[in-house]
Amino acid sequence: MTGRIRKREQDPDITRRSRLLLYVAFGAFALLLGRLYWLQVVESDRYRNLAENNRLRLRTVRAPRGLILDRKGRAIAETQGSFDLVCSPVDVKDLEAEIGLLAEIVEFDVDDNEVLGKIRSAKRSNPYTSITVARDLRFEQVSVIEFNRENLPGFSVLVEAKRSYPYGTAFAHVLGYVGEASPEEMDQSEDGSLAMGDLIGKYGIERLMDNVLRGVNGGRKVEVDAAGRDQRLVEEVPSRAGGAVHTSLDADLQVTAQEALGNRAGAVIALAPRTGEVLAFYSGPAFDPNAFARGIRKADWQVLNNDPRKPMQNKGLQGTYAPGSTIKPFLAMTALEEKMQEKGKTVLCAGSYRLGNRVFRCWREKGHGAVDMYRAIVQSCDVYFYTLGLKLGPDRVAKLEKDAGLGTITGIDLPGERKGLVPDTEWKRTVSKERWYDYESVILGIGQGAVHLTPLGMAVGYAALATGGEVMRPRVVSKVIGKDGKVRAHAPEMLRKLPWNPENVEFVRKALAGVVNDYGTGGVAKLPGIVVGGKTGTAQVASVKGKMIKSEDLPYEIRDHAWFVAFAPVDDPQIVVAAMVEHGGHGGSAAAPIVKAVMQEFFRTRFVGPQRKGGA
Amino acid sequence: MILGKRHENLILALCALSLTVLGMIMIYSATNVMAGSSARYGFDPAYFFKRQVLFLAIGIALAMGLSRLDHDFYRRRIGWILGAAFLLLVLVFVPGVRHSANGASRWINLRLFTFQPSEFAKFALLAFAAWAIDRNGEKPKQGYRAFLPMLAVMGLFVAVILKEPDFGMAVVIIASFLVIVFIAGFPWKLLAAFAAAGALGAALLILAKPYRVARIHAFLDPISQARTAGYQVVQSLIAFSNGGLLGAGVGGGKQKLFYLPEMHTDYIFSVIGEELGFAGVTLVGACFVIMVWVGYRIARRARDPFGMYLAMGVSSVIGIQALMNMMVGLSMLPPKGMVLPFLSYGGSSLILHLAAIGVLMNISLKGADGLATADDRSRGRDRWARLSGDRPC
Repeated sequence: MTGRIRKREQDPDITRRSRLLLYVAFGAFALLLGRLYWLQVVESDRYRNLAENNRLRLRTVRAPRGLILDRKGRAIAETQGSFDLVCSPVDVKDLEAEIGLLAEIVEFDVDDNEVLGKIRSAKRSNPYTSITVARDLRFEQVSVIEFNRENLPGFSVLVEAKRSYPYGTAFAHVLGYVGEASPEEMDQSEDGSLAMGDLIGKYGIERLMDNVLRGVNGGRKVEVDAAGRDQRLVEEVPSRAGGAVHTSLDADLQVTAQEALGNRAGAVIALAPRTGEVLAFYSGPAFDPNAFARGIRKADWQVLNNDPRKPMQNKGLQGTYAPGSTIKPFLAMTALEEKMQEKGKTVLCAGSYRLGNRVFRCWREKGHGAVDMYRAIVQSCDVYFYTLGLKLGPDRVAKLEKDAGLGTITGIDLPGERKGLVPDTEWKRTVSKERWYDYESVILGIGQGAVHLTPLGMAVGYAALATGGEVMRPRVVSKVIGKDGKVRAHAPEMLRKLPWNPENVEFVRKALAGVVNDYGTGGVAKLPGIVVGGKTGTAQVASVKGKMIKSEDLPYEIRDHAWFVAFAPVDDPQIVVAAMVEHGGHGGSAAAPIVKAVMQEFFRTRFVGPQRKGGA
Repeated sequence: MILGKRHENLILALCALSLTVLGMIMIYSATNVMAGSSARYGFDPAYFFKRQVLFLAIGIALAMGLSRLDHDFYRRRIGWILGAAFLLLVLVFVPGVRHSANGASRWINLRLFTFQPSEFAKFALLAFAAWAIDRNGEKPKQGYRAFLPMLAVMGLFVAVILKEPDFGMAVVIIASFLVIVFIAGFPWKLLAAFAAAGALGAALLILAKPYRVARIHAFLDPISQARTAGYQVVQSLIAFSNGGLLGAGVGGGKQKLFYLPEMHTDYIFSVIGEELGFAGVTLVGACFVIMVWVGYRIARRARDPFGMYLAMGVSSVIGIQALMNMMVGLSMLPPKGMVLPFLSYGGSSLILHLAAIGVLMNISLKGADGLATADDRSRGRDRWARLSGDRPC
């Protein structure tokens, strides 16, 4: 290295060049000043507006969803506060560590890695949003999170409105569930009132009455800081809570029905026959609507969807089943109304009935001997009804059954109702392009063959029998209190009054009372002090060749469906209960106890005088 | 530090100190809410302010010392200086020693505070460039033989700095290097080729990292991306326009309240723009222009070529860095993350820039009394020089 200091000589070139550079610097500074002047003096307003937009956010204030009440005014669907864990990605310091800590305290909506990915991508693309990662925390969890505040800078606990169903699974299929509005639903909403994240009824009453239950969202114009945190309220439009829906359901009865059915698959429906009010409507297995309100986990949804017993299906109005012997009173009614067969005429039952080369067995192998119409109903004699079915033919039976509500859309105020099928020659011609065969009439006599009905249709039909021909539209909603406070009652609606001969009705009712009280097949449903009338049904799912095999010995999928449909008291019917147990076996043993339990609960609180007339 | 020896030193010191003091006021204004509400800073609103005062004290002490140290020391010890700079630069990649923030490892953790080696490397490289030009004989027409070895050392340092990554610092170093070699009289063609290669390299570096592409995109159209990549730029522009002609007053700005990220470091100019307005930022800009001007005058009076190039380099680096930082704040350049000398919060930057002022002063002290250029004298432009020349040393 050079040790000496070299004296420099003056160089005009260097002076020239450095002066040039200085001019460049002056020029750049002038440019800078120009830009500043433009920004700060000339265009000041433009960016000031931008700054305002920057600061003001319109926050949706969600309106609380309205109550759904049972007939005694108890809330069966309500809106409650829920402690939710919310992440603000921009504030997260060490994501892995924070998630790791949280995973020990709470259970995330989705699995840990998915939460991690979600926050990570939000951190990059949209760090000022907030993401709900876990809902409905327990108080202890909230306390632990608050205690660890310092270690969880990106997370906070917020109170959010949550739909809650205090009776859990009991009302699942009637009430349905809510979920966040999909983009299509937001487009369809008539006034564009649906905001992102709004809850909307997806099923059941929640869906049908959505426009009543859903409130009108309010808004808060707030000033926020850069992190999107609220600093000051500028303007507020209050939200309007949703209206209330009163139902005719009785929570006690509903719970009784659920408990009586237990974990078997099936449906239990209780109606007030004279008004069509639905008192209980349970379908099992059920789902927990609370899980949907929280935003159901994928895995849970798959479990529900893949369950062969179809928990998402409302078996009461979407499941259709062969009615079995529960159809017999309608054949008897047809015979009497059409004057085709006297009630006193006896048929000899020797355990089977032969038509051509086919043999149709009675459920009682050794036969019932000579039975008249009353005994045939009480004993549920198949041979009697084989002959009666053949004699009446399908069309007459179908007409009366359809009039009574069987195989029709009853018009209940629940979505998704199916009508089932009551076959006649017309149907046969159009569907299978074939003529009606006599054997079909024979098996139709015991509710087998093409016929399949919903438990709801059956309940409505029995209500018609109970009331002597009054076919009421079944309904769950009794009264609506709108957002505006106006009360609208849903009055009973009679679909039609059938011109049945009261004598005939009286006879069938007496025969049904005999099923329960006169050593018939439904003796299990007998209640002390109250005369119950009803009919058992054991509907074959698969025909088993050869000798009789006890249903219980068959594999579950081909076991018989068990039915029991009844009303009480017989001389002044106040309740009709239809119970259907999928693959439950015998109606008398599997379904009748359910009906009995529901009726017992119903009459527990009601005094039934012997002479009382005029409806419930 | 000897003031009054030359008016130039006085002006230089006044500019540097007033910028620093203004910076400290703005830092306090920008950070008191943030620091006062953060456990990380012990809920002390003056946390940043106090630290900056400490850095200022260290910087002044260092500048006073260096103003008395003959600048030929740097020429004689250039090997040590360059070696130390490189060693420090490499340390940022050593786990346990390094300190990372915002995805970059630019700092060495010294427990009490962190040190940014690239700041030191910047000045070390300036000294190196001055030394190299001096060594190869000042007289121009220096060709590739002199240029390429210089370029190799520069390239090595810049590569390490880019690895941290500290793109802004690399740009500043290359730009000031270009200024020095331009003044030294390297052939135009050579410089043009180098500039073209540099531009190409920069373009490739930008395309290599998605965040840099996003920054360029946001630069071209910040408002459409106001919530994402253009966020900083738009917030900065808003700050300026909020300021208007006279500003919102010290402490009156809103943008710094969490809107403007890094408001006490890279975007302190925006805070000044909002609180002191057009008037304030014009004064700040003028201060820098004066410093560069004075720096160039000191260079031209320098005793020896090394001193001249060093003074050129130091004043260029201050000017270039200030200009670039301001232009980023005004969205005239794409964001690249660099501090504003003297004003931004940060120990390494403040201390080293004050030290550089000390070095400049020493060059000034050792320099000729007046500008000897016949050209200048004949035009009679340099009143300052003549005035100062009239005074006894």
